Amino acid sequence: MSKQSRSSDSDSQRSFSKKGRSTLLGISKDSWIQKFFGGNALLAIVFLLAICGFLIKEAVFFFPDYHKSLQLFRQSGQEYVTLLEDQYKAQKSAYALVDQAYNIERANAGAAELEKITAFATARNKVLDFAEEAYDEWDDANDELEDAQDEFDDAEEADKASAQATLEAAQTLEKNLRTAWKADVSAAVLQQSSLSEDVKDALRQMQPDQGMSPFQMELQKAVDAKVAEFAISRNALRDSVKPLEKLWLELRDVAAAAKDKGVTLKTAAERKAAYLEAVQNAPTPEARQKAQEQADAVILAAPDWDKEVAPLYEATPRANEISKNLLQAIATAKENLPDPATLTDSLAQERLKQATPELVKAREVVTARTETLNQWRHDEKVGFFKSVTGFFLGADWVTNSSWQDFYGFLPLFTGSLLISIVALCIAVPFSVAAAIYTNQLASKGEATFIKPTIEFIQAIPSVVLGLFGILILGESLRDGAEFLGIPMQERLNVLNAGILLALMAVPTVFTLAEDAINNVPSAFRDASFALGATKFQTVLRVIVPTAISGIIAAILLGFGRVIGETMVVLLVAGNKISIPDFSDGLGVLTQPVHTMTGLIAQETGEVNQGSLHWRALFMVALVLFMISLTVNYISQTLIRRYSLKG
Amino acid sequence: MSTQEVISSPIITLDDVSFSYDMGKTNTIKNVSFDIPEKQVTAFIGPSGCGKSTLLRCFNRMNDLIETAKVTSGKIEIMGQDINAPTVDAIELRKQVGMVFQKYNPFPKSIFENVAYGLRIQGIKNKSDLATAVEKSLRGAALWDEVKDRLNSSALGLSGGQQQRLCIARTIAVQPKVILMDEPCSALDPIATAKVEELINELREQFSIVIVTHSMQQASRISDRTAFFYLGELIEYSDTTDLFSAPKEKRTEDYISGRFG
Repeated sequence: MSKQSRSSDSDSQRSFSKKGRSTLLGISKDSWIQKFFGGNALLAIVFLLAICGFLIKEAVFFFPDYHKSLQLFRQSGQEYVTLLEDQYKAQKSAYALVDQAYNIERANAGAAELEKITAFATARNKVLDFAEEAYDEWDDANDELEDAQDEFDDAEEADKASAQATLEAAQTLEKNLRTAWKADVSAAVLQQSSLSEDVKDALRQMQPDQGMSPFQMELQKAVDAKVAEFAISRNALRDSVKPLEKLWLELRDVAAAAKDKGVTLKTAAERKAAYLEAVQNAPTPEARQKAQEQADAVILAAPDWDKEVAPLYEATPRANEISKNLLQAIATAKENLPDPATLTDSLAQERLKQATPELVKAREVVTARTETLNQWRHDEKVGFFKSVTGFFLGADWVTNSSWQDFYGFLPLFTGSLLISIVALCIAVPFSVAAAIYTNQLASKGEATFIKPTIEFIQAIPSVVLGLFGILILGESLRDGAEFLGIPMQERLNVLNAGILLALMAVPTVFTLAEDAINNVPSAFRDASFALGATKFQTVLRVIVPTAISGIIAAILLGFGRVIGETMVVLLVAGNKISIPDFSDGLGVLTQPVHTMTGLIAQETGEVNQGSLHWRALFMVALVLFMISLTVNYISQTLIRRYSLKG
Repeated sequence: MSTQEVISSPIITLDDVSFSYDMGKTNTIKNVSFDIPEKQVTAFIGPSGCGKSTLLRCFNRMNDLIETAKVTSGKIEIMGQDINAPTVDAIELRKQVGMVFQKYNPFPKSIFENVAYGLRIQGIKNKSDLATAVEKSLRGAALWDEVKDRLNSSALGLSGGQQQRLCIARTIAVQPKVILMDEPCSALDPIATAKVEELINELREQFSIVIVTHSMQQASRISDRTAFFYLGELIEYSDTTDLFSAPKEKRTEDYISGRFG
């Protein structure tokens, strides 16, 4: 309104004039503030896109690279060797159970004898200590006797008589000292009053030049006799895998050598490419020439793969024969192994029962792998999709291996998910209940105490929580588990990390759930009370159902919080990269795992930029980012829908 | 209190009742005494802030939800019982004294569940019992024909007037003796208002109704007796026709003729 052509009234002109407002570069203060906030919002979006782009850029070549690596794995024959290894391992894991059962059974069946052996061995040590001096004297005499014997044997006819005399003297001395030693032993045995008579007798009958006492051997034999039948089947199973083991180790060296050639070729090609690039960019003709020479010096000789892997194909008939025998041996073992019910020890029975399905599994593995082995071709192309499934469904994350690296995402994902679920199972009941209590049931004084206290948890640095988990929670959990009679091998495990992450999730879930409940219109509460409902009925039947989508959103955001948490899991989760054994039931919680976040934090510092391992880590980061983004998106949608309804 | 009359069968009796929102520092309701008759419609009128809604909320002790609010003197008896006696359970009282609010507030549940709510919290689980009671209440609230085909759809999908009648159905489902209505039509359009008024007319046969209203026309249309409050005091209380045709008090006359309020 600065130009008012029609009105001549100066008063109105002044009152509507813009002139009084301060401006900067022709833009008013309000506009500047508006632009500042708008700019910041834009910056946030730009950052988000930049992070996305960066992650994708670093991760995107993972699949082609991994594909190449898998291709080499096949070309070099390593895959073939793995087929043998699988058979070997399957048999071994079945045998391990049988072996455990055997040893436990042996210890139990021969408990009395083994106890006697131990008692004898302990007493023997004491007695020998006691008679040590006498032994040393005898030992010297014995040496002399041997020397005398040698001398006598080598003596000329003329010296025979004197040698004979020396020998006889030595013999007498040895005999006397032996008697002296035995007297010492007998005296020592008398002090061992708690021993049974047969042990005492055996001790008295010891000779200084005797290795194992016949008494001990008798007992050992008696023990072995009790499990003799079991021992035969066990040993047969143990020995049946040996030809396979031999073949496997033999061919492993062949494949490893072939692979080395492949790797050498790859690095040579990379080096050559680098030199050629230097040729392009060389500033002076001299430098160009030097680079060209260097490039020419690198000779790219592709290995003759057919020749490299020929020994593998040659070994196939042998492998078939071995597998056939192995199957036969497993079948025989299944028949010959004792009926678990006949075992005397319950743990041994259990192990032997567990062995049966393992044996069946081993047979399946042997059959399947042998079949694959016969059709295996080193020059068959690896499907590109294999690198994708190999990542997302792979159960092994093996890096810096001299054999072959595998980047299987599944153990990390399971670990992260398991810990997050444990954390939420603990955190959600506490925080939602606390939110309901503070908002609906607590007095004003309580609410003003509870809310800031819970929200304060957020202020604890996660590394401090991690230390607490290592030093205090881990020990207390183990003590608690011991008290309850649950075995807990690892101090750092899923449960420990889950509890700490629960602590970190509580403030998030509590605050958001409390907001959701607070947003329920008081009219609903009034209506419920007016119908004669109690406070509890009102909370459970009206307030919580109304706020439920907000509460679910709070839980989802809590999930996003814990699955992205790094420090605590790195310190406390145990960092063992394997899919936990779910057959253990709730015992799975006592196992160590590794997580997506923990692994990235742990390994990123040690890998070469641009390597396959590096890209694999970025791929994990990308997946993690996608998970967080999805969870956040779903919870935002829920909150929006819920706030429209409220 | 010149208009005090003897009512033969009172359901609510007030004797010198005072009420305060701030622990007795100032009284919002001052020494009110009168009787409310059974199975009739009693209207409370008066300008904003005169305490009529507050008094209504004393009858089902909804004011208990406010920590500092309390009845500072006098006695409220409903069906012969002092409702503020320590032995009285407010939960049980509210089952006998239902309430309909100014702004319709059905729960975000289905129509059926809204009506069944009061019965469910009393522990009734039998499905056919619930269905019978819900139908009876919806018929009682003249809503059955409009919603019988969509009992399981959300109550929030109904029109404003329907929602308010649903709230009435929800209230009568628990079979209270008294229904308190706090300006039940103030958020409704004239047609919906007419329907609710018609409904109130039918309900007076079964229930004793106390209604707070801003509209003097509404009070004169639907109520048998009318109480006029001003600044926390009961100014005049008599048959509705008498109060509107021949008010005894000057302030009543000024108010109903529109000179203030």
